[in-house]
Amino acid sequence: MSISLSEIRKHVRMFFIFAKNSLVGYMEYKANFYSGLIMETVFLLSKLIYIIFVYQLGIEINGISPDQMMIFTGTYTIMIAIYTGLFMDNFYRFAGHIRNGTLDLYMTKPLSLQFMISLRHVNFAFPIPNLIAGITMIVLAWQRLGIDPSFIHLAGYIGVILSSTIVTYSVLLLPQILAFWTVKSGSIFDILDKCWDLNNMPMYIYPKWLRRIGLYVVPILFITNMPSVYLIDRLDLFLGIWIFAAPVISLLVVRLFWKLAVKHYESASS
Amino acid sequence: MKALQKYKRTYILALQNEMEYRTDFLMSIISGGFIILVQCFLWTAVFRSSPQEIINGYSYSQIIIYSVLSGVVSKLVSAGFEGEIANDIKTGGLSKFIAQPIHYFSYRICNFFGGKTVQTAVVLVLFVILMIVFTQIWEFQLRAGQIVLFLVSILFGLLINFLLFYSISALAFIITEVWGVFIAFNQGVYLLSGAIFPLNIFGDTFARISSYLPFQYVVYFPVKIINGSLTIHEIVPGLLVQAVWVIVLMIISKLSWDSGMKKYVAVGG
Amino acid sequence: MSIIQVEHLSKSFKYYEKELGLKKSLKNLVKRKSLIKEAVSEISLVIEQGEMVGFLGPNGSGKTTTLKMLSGILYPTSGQATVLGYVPWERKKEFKMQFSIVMGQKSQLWWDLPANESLYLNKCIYEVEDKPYNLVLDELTEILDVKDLLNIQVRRLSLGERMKMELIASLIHRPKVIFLDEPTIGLDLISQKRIREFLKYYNQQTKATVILTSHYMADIEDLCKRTIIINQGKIVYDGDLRRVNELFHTKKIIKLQFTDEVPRQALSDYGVITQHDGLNAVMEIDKHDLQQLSKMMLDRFPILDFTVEDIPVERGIESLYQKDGVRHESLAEV
Repeated sequence: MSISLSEIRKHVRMFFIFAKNSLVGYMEYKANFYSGLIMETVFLLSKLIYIIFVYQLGIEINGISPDQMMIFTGTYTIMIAIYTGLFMDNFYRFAGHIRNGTLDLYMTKPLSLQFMISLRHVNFAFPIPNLIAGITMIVLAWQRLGIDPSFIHLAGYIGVILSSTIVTYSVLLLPQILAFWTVKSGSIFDILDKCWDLNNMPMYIYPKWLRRIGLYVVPILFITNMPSVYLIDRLDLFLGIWIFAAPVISLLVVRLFWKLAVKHYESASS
Repeated sequence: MKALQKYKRTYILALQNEMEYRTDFLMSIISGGFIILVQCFLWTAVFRSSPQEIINGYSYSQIIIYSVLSGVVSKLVSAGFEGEIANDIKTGGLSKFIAQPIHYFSYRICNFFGGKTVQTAVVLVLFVILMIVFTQIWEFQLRAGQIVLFLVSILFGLLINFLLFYSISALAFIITEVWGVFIAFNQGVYLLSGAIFPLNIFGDTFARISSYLPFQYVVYFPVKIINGSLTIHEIVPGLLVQAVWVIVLMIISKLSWDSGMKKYVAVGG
Repeated sequence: MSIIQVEHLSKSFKYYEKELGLKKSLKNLVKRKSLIKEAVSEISLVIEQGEMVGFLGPNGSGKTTTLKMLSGILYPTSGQATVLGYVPWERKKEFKMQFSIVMGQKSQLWWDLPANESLYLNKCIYEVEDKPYNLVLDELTEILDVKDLLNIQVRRLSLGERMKMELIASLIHRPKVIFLDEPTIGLDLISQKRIREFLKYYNQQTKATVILTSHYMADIEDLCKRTIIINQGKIVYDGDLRRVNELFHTKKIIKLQFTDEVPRQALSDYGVITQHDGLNAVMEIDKHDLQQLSKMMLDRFPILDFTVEDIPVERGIESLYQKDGVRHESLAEV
């Protein structure tokens, strides 16, 4: 498959049309939007319980102070905003496309199937409370820790967030692809959700072997830890390189797995 | 009893269905164990970093036992049918229940317990193994009466959780894209039931508030029975409160569904 | 060159045996027995440009599976096919840009959005310029009489209206080949007729090649000169639907109306009586003797009205289904 510039442009344009359609959908159901907003706020509070717990303890856990912990939680919350905004709706519907056979229709479209399935919906409700809370926590912890608010720091942080976003997409899409083989994938999603919860806490509370797996094998810990690790100056050369390599590799792996799955795809109804 | 036959059939079908998706079943057990592991790591790190032996009234072994058991119990009582109900409502599948002589509530509860039967069997095996391990590692004792009371409270917990989610499912009558609400509710129940942290860890005020809510009777209460931190004088009233909650929630679910049904206009599917 | 060429196309599915009963379910937990089902076997056909071909067959006969292979959704187990010169399951973009598939039971429209949003989406997906898009949209909404419905959310449309939108969405890019899988399923008779009329018109206007599956006889009878009957994954008939009967039935139906009562016995010399009430009679008469016998009857009886009809197509098809496709070879020559 050759990737031409015009194809990329087309896909970018399509993404904005998808986003627009999602937004129009929200306009049609405003009440739905607000209730989503409220519920996600509740959801957010339930995640904040961890950081409340840490401040209540008031001790360094494996060398991480509560303020540093807040950097992690803040980043985690921002990543939730990105995940719920761009990916979650799509991943959640993934198995449904196979079950209902709508995937069959998408397959015949002159547009990348993976693109169409995985970036079809944009959520506008869920990211709002997370983005607000996440950025607030980062700013707060940034000040309390006295990190220099220089351009380099900020640009670096955003850069690592971008890298994490790609890793998030790949790592969380990968198990969804299993739905091509087993139709009822509710618990696949469940397992992911729990996996994702690993990021509730900085990776330093985990034993070394788990940390290594979570960074290099299934880079789920990569997602919130790398931006935070960058900010609290715990980055070494190897991790620095990994920030650039991980998104490329994980995207490649998920692409290959996708192709394999589509090849083996047999539609639900014969 | 011909009338009951169809519910029995629903129950058995759900049971078979649960068997059918064996990979997913296995996955759900793994994912259940996974979150427990995270909790254990967190507590291990906390206790290692803290100079104290007792944190918020729990010793290391107590908190680990609590984390493991609450994880298992919350897995056991979890619902997961709310999406199906929303789908029935949205696509008009509910209409066939209005036409057929089968009550939707009864259908759902038979379906729920059908699926749970399989999970219970597996979870109980796991439970026995865990108990043996705990009694070996730490001085941890278990009496037969305790197990019976625990099972009773689990049954109540299942009912409460079913009713909670059944009631909230009625939201699908007024909200079309309701799944986000369900996930959030799920998480809320998860948290407030004590599946993540024991509820008394955040101080007395929080504990008192949650004692007025039904959620703690889903996980926190049963686990504390088996944990041995409750006396018989605390358990019996607790079971009664559970029973009261079952009745209250039945009324709530009835009300919410009745008002929902009024709004229900089947979309031609 | 032919638009569609199919040679020895086969598809088999693996599936798991589902046994009833609790004990069996428990057993399934440990080990599941896999079975293989031949959905399509050794299908060959050629379709020319502008043809409108109907696939007819009972449920599960392999119609949809064939269509899915031709549109590249499924890989075949064996055999070859080309559509517009492309191998469908290579899923080349150039190929996708030139065909379209509509499935009666699957929607490509965004449920919660007005239909025109979905149409616009397809415009972008198929890279249609603004001008031709507006032209096609105007034309199609005009013919299908749905111009006023474009701004209404799809979920609020009736099934028939939704199907019309579905059709428009799939025709925005003026496909050269159109696959329609049960396009009239679940629709009321009037909507069915509308859709049929539209398809006929569209086929004549654009010379697009159309393959249609349906289990409604009327769809196919009305639209397709050529019908391919599929049963148990095999082609059992390929040709004019009205001539199906020639294979099996050498009889014709005559309906008689008399001015005076004619007793049953008097008629029985001429053929099999299927209906009789004195003044009216319906009979089946051997085709070869039709001329001679009808002349004799006209002479003998006080006949007011006299019509000759073919045996209904349904009966011929029924016979085909019952034969399980064993007569494939001999039939293909007809």
